[in-house]
Amino acid sequence: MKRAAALALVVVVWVAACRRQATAPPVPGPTPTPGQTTFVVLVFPGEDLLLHRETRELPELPPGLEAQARVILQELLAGPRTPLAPAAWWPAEVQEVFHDGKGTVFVNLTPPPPVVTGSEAELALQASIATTLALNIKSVQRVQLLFAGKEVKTLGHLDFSRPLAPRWDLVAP
Amino acid sequence: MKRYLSLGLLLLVGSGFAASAVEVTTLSGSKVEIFSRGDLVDLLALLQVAGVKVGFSAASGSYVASSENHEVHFTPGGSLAVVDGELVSLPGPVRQLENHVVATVETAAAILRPLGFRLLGNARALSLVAAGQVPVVEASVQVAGETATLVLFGLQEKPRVVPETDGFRVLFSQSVQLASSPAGGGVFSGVQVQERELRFFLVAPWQLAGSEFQENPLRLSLRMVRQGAAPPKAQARTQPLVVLDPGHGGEDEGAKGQGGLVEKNLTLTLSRLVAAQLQKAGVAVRLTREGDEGVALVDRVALANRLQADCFVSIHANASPARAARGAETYFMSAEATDAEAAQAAARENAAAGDVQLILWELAHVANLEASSRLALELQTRLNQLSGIRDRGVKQAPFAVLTGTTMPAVLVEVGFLSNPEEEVRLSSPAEQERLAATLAQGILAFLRSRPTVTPTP
Ligand SMILES: [Zn+2]
Repeated sequence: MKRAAALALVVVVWVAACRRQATAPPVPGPTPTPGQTTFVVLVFPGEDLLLHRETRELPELPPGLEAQARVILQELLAGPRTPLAPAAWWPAEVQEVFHDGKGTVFVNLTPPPPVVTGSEAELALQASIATTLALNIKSVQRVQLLFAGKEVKTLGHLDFSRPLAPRWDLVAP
Repeated sequence: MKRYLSLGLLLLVGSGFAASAVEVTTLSGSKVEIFSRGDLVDLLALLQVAGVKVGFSAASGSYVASSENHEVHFTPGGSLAVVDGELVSLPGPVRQLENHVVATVETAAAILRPLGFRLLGNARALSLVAAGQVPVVEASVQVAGETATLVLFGLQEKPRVVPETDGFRVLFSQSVQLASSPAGGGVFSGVQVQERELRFFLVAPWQLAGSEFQENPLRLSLRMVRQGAAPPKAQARTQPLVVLDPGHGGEDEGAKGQGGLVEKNLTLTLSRLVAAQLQKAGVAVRLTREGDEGVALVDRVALANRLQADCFVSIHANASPARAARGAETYFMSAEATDAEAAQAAARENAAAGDVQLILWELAHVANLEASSRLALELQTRLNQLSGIRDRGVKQAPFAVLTGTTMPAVLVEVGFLSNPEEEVRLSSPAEQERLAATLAQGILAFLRSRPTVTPTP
């Protein structure tokens, strides 16, 4: 309960901070031990409208769910190495990641351009982020996307105002 | 990690703010005055009156209000709060005003609710009630033309309804409170709460036409009609009604193809063609927009709900970062957004925001999930045949425009504008006619399959 409360407070403080300034202070990056590596599985949308896996070998992940999620998402948003499609339709970057201690992760992204895209692009974004995080971090159950520190009702189609579950049904066999 | 300072609250009890104070009836029945200004009331004073412990973190500038089992974090200047570790939207921001932390009554109620308190009244007179102490009935009114529906929520028993010449009484076996008077588009002239009864006064020529109970959660729907007006839907409408929603419009152009085809134009063209086909088959059709105007998603849903449409079909054209993606997709509301638990959770959240109407819509939508999936399947199967795709099934996703629909509702993506070949295909008037005919056939098949409605073929 104490941990949850602390994390909750972090979110409130963070949301308040985002309101005060356009860009939140940077979160320290990973500090891998040289030589040690780990494998992570990313999912990217394919032209068959399913999510396809790509495995990456990364320097050992830093301790802590939020720092790990951040590294994994940076790798996801850097794009696929196979002929799959990117998870985001704009050069999105992770600004912050927060975990509420109960399985919900808030991912704050740089906002997309103010032009509506298709629902498939929105679904691919949410599904690839939530599913990638859940594939690599067992305690992740739901992911809510925030844009420029703000909760967004919709980008045109999907309802982003609530945390959404990973889309195992969309992962290619 | 966080250093909480004990908060010395200045409770402005009887402190001479005659022109800017609101009287609060406390849990014990005594009355105190707290600071208020316009619609804003002193939130910290209210929490103090409720006996809630409030801490303040100087480092973060945020407050934490805690009861025995629950915690709410909020920050002046923010309209988000963390309730027991979950980020929630408040109806409005918490503000700093002079030396007071203030909020609207609605926002204060949303903060007090998870702590076990109900805040009743308005910025002129407030009552604090411990949850569960006295049942608090919430009322909402929806007016649709010549009929109006009043729904009473928060019932712990089935009350008796007694019609009167100028309205009706709702009789309970124990004392009740009314959260707020229903704002009802000229249907009610007033409401009286008299211990065990709620007395509703109707504006002439409105009359009570009937009432029924619904379960899970228990609620009472009372139907009013304007005297001399046409009878309600079931008797009045002889043909099924479909609401077609051409996606986007106005400044929101939707997706754009490389060749210049714009989604908002394509969806309007297709919707008009589908409407013509359906009308030929004896089905009444309404479009959520008739031209190139922006219509809020919530207003599109509201139109379909108000008309009590038999189904709602939102028509879109897709775009994907996977450039070769092709074919149509048909969605109905995601299960996670509509399963019973989620609906109840949404209902609770919405109740905290005072939006009882949305609760109704959420619950009604759950009931329509199965029918929505059948409608989606009727459309997707035919669209697959048209595009030569064999195995694409229907999909579920939490679409904003499907949230709150009270009838079978789907969203169709007719093809990908991000795929240059598809864009060319979708630009062709002949293809548009084929697509429209396919969509109309799917909708008609769905309408025919329903037990109660038989559209004229
Ligand atoms: Zn669209």
